[in-house]
Amino acid sequence: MVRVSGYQLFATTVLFQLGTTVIFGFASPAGRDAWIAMLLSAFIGMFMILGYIALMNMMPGLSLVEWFPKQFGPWLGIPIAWFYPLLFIYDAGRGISDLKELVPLTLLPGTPTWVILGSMMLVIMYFLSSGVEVIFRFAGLLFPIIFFLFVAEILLLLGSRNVHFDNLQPLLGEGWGRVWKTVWPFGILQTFGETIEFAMLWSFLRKPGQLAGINIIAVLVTGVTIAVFDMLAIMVLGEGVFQRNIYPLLVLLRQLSISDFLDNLDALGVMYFMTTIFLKISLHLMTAVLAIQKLTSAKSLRLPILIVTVTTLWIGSNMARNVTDHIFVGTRILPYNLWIPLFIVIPAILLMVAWIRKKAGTAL
Amino acid sequence: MGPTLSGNFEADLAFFRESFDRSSDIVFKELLVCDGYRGIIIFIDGLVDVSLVDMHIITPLLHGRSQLELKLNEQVKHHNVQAILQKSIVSACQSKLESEMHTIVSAITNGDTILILESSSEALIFDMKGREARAVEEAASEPTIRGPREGFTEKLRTNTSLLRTRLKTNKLKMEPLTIGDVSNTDIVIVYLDGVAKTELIDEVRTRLGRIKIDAILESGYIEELIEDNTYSPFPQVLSTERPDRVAAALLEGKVSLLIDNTPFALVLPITFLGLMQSPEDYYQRYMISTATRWLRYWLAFIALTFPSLYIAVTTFHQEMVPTNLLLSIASSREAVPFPAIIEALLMEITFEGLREAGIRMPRPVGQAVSIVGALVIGQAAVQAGIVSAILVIIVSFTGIASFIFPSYSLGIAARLLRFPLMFLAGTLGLYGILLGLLVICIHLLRLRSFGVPYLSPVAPLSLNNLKDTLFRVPWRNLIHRRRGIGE
Amino acid sequence: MSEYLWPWQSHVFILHPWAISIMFIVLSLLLSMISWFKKK
Repeated sequence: MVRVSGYQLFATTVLFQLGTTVIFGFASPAGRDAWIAMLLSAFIGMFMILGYIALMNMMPGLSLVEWFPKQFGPWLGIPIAWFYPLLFIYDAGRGISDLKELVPLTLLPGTPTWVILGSMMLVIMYFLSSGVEVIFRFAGLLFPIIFFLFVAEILLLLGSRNVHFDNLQPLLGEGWGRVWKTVWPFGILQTFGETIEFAMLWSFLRKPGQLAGINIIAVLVTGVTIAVFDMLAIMVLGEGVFQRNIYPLLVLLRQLSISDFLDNLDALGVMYFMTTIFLKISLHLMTAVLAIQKLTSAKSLRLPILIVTVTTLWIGSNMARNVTDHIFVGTRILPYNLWIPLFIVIPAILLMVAWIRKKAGTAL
Repeated sequence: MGPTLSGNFEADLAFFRESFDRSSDIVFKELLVCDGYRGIIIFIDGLVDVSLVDMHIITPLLHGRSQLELKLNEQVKHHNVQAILQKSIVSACQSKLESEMHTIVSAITNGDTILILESSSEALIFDMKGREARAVEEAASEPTIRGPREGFTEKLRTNTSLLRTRLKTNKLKMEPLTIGDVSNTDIVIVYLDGVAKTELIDEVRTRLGRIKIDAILESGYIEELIEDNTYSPFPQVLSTERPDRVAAALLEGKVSLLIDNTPFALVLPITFLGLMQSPEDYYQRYMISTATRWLRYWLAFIALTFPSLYIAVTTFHQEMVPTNLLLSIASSREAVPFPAIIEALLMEITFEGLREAGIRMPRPVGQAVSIVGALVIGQAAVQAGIVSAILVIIVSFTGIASFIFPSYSLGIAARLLRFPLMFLAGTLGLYGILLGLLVICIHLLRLRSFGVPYLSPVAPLSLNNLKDTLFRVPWRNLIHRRRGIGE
Repeated sequence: MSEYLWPWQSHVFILHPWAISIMFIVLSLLLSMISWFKKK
């Protein structure tokens, strides 16, 4: 039986939530108040996650896809449950599409896309077939390394002469309007709504009582980290660049030069960013695979893994015609169409139903 | 129950003569024990200390005749001549009675001496082994500056004694067994009772019991037959020539296997970080050891990735290199007709070839080879424009770095994995290196050695054990024995 | 009509945002049949 330690869950959650924000920055439409938007999103997101945890506690030992059949019955519950692995696969596809844009831009301009993405998917397949425990161990291993690199980056940036605190001001000069526009719905849902995926994994935790605590600390860490990076990016690059550039944090890295010797470090930065995307995509797919396994009572994970990886590769490759479309969908449309119903509305209904049931004392 | 001694002297003797026909080293010494009683001593010359046989079997038998006659007359009806001999006449200290033919034949091939008397249904087996063996010398493959200079030899008994002197406790258990249908190699399972987990010991016994092979010629055979994953390039069992290393491992609850005819003992289970430790770490002062450890980890990473990084950066990511360096690399590569990856592969393969050849080189010729290597490959190749000077530096530094591994098998794994990484670097640049490192990382994370995750104590995280991995903490803080492996 | 077949693609998603929701519902019903069948 897979047994995961509190630290491992924490590390995995944080790295998952950091995900793609490490290059894209977070809440850039909010301009120089993006960091405020981040902190707000984290705060509200935390309550949302606590909601998911409440559901977890009401149906102990059950994973996400088992919640719906339990509360809504098999005829309604199972189709609803199936939405989730489909969404996770789509989200993984989005991650692949991000890679498709990023890698030729920064690392390998000449290489054909299918080689870049195909090789990544092979590694992901290997990763998935190693089992859930390996994924958690990997995150546990990676976490200190990534954070060490983050701290190094922050220190180096602060040490260079490019940091201008006044770029942050005037604080909230444009008012709360644009901050709120970024927080809802995108800000909360992007990082924290996606955490509902972890409801497939929470049953592996060795000490279930720690669940809430770990998630709160994780959200705190994620929130502060991203906010700090947003702040740094704004301080160094200025609001304009931050808002308009697709990969502001990458531009940020390019500004780094260590005693005029090592510069143009964005290639290295892309490497560690790539590791977080790798982990996020793998987690999307692992949760999808686990969900499929539960829903089809499959014995081995091999077939689901194969199907899922191939599907993801396919949809990820032909998803975006260009980067602008891709981002537009991701920030303006996707949250409304898929995320709100699946991350907020349906779980909320579920929560109410479960609570009412509990109160009424009936068990199903 | 196989055939046993019949008591018919002629028949039994004929059986043995036939079993060992066409063997020039088998000795059949016939005796007349006392009037009427014929006896035969059988042993294999070369495996037996003949002077002991002379002194303790033949002499008492021949000179103690009168005593024997006396005793025999008293117990004429007793056919237990052998017992008398064993207890009163013959002065050898290790002996036993045996009647099954197969066992007796095994005993002879094992180097024991047999004494059979007429009309007895049992043979006496004496252990008077004495064969030529190497003296105890320094472990050739694992020298240290500070530390004992005793290494295991090919004799099992010597090796067990080297462990006994270090752990003088009756809790040190040595379970014997034999593996190999033809070789019948003696193997000893060594562990500290109470420290090593019983499940581990049971698992070791089970896996050893499952082995079906005709001969065990070296511990490497056993290593491959009992390890968790044969397809991994990484060793899951530690092989070492140093008794101090084994003793330290035993104290941590690990199990060791001593195998006859090879000085390489096996220690299991082992983790990646355990393989990266040298026993010398504990003999030197702790600050030096900590620094050396860090150096080792860093050089290990270099040994694995340095050539790949060179290939990736010069082929795909030239903008990362500072301009001055870039210009000098470009100029040194100007004359080279190959792309970076071919150049690097050529050099690396040549280097590996030199290294392999160096192992088999007879001593006097060895000097010539190093000169040939340095001059021809290094200097001349650069001047001929086949490789660039920068690459020679990189390859040599990588070569030096690859000697940093305290465990030779782990070093081989790193050397081997260098090549796929170079291919990946040549095709997909830094992205390829990252993918390669990810694959290696995932592989290490799923690998287990007898149930212990290979990357403990880093993943899964165990802070208590971690302090001994990253740093070498002073002894005062290490007093709590490691909880990862044993109790 | 053929462009409705690939609703995850961004250009389709922008023009017809509900297409993917419909696809999800259809797929989920189809896949649920596997679950219902297995549960018997």
